[in-house]
Amino acid sequence: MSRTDLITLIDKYLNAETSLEEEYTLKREMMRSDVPEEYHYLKEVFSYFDAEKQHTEIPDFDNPANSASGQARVISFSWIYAAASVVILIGLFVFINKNTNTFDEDTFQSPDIAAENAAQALEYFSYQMKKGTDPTLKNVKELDNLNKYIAIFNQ
Amino acid sequence: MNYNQIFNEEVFPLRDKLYRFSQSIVRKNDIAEDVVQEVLIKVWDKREDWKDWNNMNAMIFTITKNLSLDKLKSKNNQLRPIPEGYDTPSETRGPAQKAIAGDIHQIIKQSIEKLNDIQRMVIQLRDMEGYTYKEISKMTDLTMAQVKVNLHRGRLELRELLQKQL
Amino acid sequence: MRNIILSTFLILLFITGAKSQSVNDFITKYKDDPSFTVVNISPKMFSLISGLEAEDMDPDLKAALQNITGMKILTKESDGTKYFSEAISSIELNKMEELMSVKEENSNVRIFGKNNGKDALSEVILLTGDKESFVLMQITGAISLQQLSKLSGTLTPPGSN
Repeated sequence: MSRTDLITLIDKYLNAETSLEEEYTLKREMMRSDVPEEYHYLKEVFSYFDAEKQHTEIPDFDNPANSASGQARVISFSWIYAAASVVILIGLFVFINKNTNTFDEDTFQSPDIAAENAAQALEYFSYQMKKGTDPTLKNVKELDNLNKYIAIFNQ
Repeated sequence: MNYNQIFNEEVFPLRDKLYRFSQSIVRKNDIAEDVVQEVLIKVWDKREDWKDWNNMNAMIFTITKNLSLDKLKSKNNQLRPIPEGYDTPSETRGPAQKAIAGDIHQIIKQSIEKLNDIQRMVIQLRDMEGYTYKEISKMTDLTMAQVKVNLHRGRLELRELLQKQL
Repeated sequence: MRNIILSTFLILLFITGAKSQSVNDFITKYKDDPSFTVVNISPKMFSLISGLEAEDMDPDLKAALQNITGMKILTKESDGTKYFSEAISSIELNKMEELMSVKEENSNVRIFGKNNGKDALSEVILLTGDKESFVLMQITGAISLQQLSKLSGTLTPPGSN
């Protein structure tokens, strides 16, 4: 492209009269031809646009279509129920298999399974106990009693 | 096609463009991030209205534009004006410093930020994202003539700002 | 005639139900109702548990388990508030110290404990109830709340899937 043609094209560009194809040609020509001093800035501007487009760091956006609505809210409650339902499932299994169990009889025959369930129960207990120290909850009573027992073992 | 598929194929992939677009208006990365996340959620929540949108792409950009401008208004005090001389390279910089590409890009970036909102927006959509005048007109609620006028003025102003510096 | 017997029986049941019960009585009352889940882990089982080589178990959890001699749990996955109220009013809790009570809009948590005369608790009872679930848990042994408070409080026990 001749120098005159290039300058004509630049003028057209500045007047916002170029088509997308012409702008593409202009950008390409600017990279390869000898650009008049006064338009060096434009070369840099084009290279800036290219660089920005390619190198903008795009944050990780949540895709609302993939996180089924309300899921987040459900999760915050679900672990209580999850625990309860695991216990219930195991319990149901035991109930179906052992209709005759009287209450003093052990629910689990295997110490491993019993240990897992006991551990889970303790974790649940701990979780509930921590509610007592949660500053965001109102209506927490009798915390002193709880702290007294915790403090005893701190000593 | 269900909503999920449409969203995943037509809306979510736009997030890069929307982010850069919002950035061009609000000029702050974290605010642009908030805007785009909000737009994505908003568009998803309105999925039942999609069938009434003539041009989904344009509609999403319009929502992004409006939300960005809202943020700009509500955060007006923090966002502008960029104080004169703030972080701008002094005129006395030598050629060696100019040669650093990052530095030049910084100067260009600051000059673009000095344009008014509309000029910045149309330059962003045209020169960076490569949309047609017609598409830009739909996205920004401007007439085609207004798009061109603003593009023209913005480009002239950039020349004004940069010719001296580079 | 049959109705009278039935109603007398129901009234009797109501009266006895309204009287103070032990946790054991309360659980026994519901143990055959399939909507409830009952778990009992006996002292004998806990002695077996303490002999387990559970290497992958969290040490804090392991330590807590060592001091426990019995555990009874009754849970139901609905009508939590109703059974919570029933348990609070019918289970004999006078001799116990209330350690904690959290009352939120739709959920209640209460913890009671019995001092063993030394520094630990010989028994703790946890009651929780909300719209969706009811939990009654009784733990006996030499229970250290300090030890329990060290647990992560997550609900997936180590070593289980």
